[in-house]
Amino acid sequence: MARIIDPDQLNLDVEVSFDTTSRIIELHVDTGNLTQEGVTLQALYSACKEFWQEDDGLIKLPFPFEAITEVKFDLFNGWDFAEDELKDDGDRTRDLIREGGWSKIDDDGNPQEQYFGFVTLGEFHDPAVDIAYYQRQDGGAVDYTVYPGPVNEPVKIFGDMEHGELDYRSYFMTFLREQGKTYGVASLDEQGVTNIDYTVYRLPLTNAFDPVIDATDNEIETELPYTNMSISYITGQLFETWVSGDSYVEDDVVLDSSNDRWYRATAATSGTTNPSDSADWEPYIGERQIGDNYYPFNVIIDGQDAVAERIYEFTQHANRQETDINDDEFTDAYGEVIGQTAPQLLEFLGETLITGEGVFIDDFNSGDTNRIEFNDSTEETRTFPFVAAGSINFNDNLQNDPNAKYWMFFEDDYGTDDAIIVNDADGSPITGDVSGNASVSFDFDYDNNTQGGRTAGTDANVIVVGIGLNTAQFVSVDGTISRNVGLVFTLVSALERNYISGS
Amino acid sequence: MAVSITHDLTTLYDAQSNFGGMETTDLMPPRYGATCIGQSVDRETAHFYDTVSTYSLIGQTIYVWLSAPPSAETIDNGGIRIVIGDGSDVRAYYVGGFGTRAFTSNGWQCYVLNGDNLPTMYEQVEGTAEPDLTSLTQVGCGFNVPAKAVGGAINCFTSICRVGTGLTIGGGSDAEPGVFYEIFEEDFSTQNAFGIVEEMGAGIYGIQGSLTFGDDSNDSYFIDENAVIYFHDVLVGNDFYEFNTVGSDTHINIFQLGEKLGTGGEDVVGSDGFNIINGGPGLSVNFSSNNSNGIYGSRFNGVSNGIDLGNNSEVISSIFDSSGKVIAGSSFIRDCTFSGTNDNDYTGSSLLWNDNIDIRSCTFNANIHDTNDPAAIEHPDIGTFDYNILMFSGNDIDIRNTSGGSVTINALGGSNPDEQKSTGDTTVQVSASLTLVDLQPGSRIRILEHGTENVLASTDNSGDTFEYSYNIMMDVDIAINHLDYVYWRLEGYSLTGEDASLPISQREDRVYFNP
Repeated sequence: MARIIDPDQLNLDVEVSFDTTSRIIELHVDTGNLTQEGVTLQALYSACKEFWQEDDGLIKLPFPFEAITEVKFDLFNGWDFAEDELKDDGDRTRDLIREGGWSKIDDDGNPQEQYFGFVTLGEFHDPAVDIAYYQRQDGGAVDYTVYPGPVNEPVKIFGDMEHGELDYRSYFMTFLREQGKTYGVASLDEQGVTNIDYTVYRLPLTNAFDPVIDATDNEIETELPYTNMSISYITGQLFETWVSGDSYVEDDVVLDSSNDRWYRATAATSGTTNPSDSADWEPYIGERQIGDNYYPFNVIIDGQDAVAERIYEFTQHANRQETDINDDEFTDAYGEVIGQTAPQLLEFLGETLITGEGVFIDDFNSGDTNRIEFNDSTEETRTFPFVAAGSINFNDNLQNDPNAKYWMFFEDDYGTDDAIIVNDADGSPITGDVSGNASVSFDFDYDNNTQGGRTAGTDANVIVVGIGLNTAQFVSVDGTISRNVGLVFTLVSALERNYISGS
Repeated sequence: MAVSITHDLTTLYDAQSNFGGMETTDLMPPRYGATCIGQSVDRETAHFYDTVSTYSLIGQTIYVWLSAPPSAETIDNGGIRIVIGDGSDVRAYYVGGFGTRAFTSNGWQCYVLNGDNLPTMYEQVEGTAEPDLTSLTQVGCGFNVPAKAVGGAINCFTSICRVGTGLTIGGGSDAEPGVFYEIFEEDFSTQNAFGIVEEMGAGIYGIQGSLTFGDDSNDSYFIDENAVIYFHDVLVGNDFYEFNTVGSDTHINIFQLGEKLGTGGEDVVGSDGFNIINGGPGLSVNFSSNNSNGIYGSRFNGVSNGIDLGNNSEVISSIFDSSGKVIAGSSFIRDCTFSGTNDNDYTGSSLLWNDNIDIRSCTFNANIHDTNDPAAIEHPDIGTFDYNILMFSGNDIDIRNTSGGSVTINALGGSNPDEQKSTGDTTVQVSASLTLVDLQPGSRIRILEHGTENVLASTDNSGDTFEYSYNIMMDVDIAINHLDYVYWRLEGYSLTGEDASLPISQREDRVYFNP
């Protein structure tokens, strides 16, 4: 039976009972309509009103609830929900409450215990198995939800001296990380909630099958290249351009604009000497060069020359560990990082691997250069200069003509004496004999080519031309070199019927 | 017509001639009569006493006027003394000295010596024992003056010396009743010099003897307002101070403190009365049933030996505080406060009930003690009694039942004695109702004894009002449930002796939901 929202489904002393001496409310599963799907607090409240309306014993007692809203209640007059030890069916009454938060109030009006209703939005890939967990303190331990699947259950956020002495009303983060599935994460801080109330909060949390994950946990834990991969966290903060005379504290990381390199403060400093020349600063070991420039990172993954998918498998595995995942290869004493609550290191978007903020991969496979986006510690996305690539296809007339040639021109000046042949990534003109080939490959320095005043990093409109003598007529085709690989331009030349070669 | 003063004082010597070694002198204006007597006391202790007619000091007080130089020693060193003797044993009791305030009038000080509370400091002048207080034959005075008497001149004086208890104030007339200032004037006069009433300030009188108002042989009228009567803290017996009225059924004896206002009946209040304060060991107040006693807007404080109002007093808007038990008789008592009783060392009660009592609209509060349990009202008799607008607050015990049987109190007019704060077999009952109004029809209502599940009244389907009639005052809890309105509960509501109406504001329940 589904979650109960109709108070008529709750019967006195069947699904709900009251210990009128101790003033305990107890829910009973599997004896009537109530299952582990639970009951909304509004339905329980409404049922209680009906019990108080109909029962001659209960009406003598103070009512347990005061409804603030449909999902927010005060539990007072000494009433409480049954604890484990009071239960005879193993399910804690409070864990069966759905879509409701409450505050247990003492006779003086002071809160003794508070719970908020934790509800997730979105589907879980396998609701019977996938289980979310959450953190109630920044850096604190995690708790798993009572039941797997999309969450709808109370979470304790406050207890006075007699009720656990805790106060978790300022932080809440939840995770959904299962092997072979995409990861979900959400926090109340993202929703602008910094004072958590005893009401219901709904957080988007979902997962799905992850087609990138192929290796099992055992393979990752025991086989190369995974076992040689590592994750190192590097101490650093700020990540701004150094300003002479400004005050900095230890571990601030700045860009010295005199040489465009990054440095980390070894102690508090406010000097006017450039970091590159100052003993107060040291070269930042999290600095990495991408293209011509250096950028700061504070998590470095050693990819062991593996392809992006394998590195991703490794970090996804790390992000599920209950243990320290900081291998500290640079001996930087960053400290312990618990994998399952650490920010996700990598994710895939299509074929592109995107790093988390401040995450860089050393020694990734060079073939993946164009499909990795790095988010540095300044919260900017960085990529290696892009080399566009593709092929020029020739039809049979061109292939059969031993004199057939091809050229690739920039569109702007094509048709004039100033026409410019496009250079490939190595600076060589893209032109040549067809030589009977069905196609030829080309590449293009997309981010650096400035022939004819071209703006680097923008798409280039080109004209591809082909011509033979005996079998292939002149042919041209328009095209665009974009930030992609696998570009295809096809020359289809008409059969030459009129060419007469000289004697 | 002014007051007429009589007294029970017996003159032991009048200082109109040489006595005990003191000689008549005109160096000091006489406090009594035409002259006084004195002697030079030069860097010495000197006692001056002589034989007088036999007198007793049990229940009696010697009043003697003395004057010593500022250089006299402190009381601890016997600066000023009263000498008594029985012919064999003579003692000089220390009664005053430098730095000790004394009853003062007309430049003289009147010192007292009471046989029931003698000073512990004295000098044995003759013999070895305490003189026989029931048969004294000698009296006099003594001085310890360490300084030189300049030129050997007389520096210590005495005037009339009497023994007795106090004054009786009669006289006055219907047209010109006596007032307290006249008593002081009589005492102040060199013709009297009783040494019992002094004026400490305008309208403030210090007293060191008993006062009785009225005359059982003649008509008397005493009506006065706005005075403070302070019984001095001097060494007299615990039962010595009395503030009484006397009269007879054959004469008119009017005694009135303060002013009675209002049209009569229950519409009366009092104001501008006396403030009678006891600073001494004990004080009792006894109003004669033969007098017409009117006590309005007055306050009795520290009357530790109790107050008997008799049967013919009208006591309105007055306060009995930190005093012994008030015996009400059949006096008319309205708008009074009984608080802080110290009756029977805080084990008694502030008011003793009787079958003929006529009391209403009074307050009993703060009759409390750290270790004992004083009560507001004591009931010595079995029966059923009405409390009319008698309000109780903060007492250790509201009703002390000493009858040995059942006492039932009908708490009327909002009277609020707490049955839980009563002793013995005591029941408090009322006849009143609580009406819940502005109800949402169809409400389910329970009125329960506070803190219990004992249902006193109920309905499962109310109209827009619900009335609960009761005869026991108590605190109740009121619970109201209605599916369409927020559950309403009030705990600890006090049912009083008066009908009450309680508006109920039920808020619509926007959360209750039953699809």
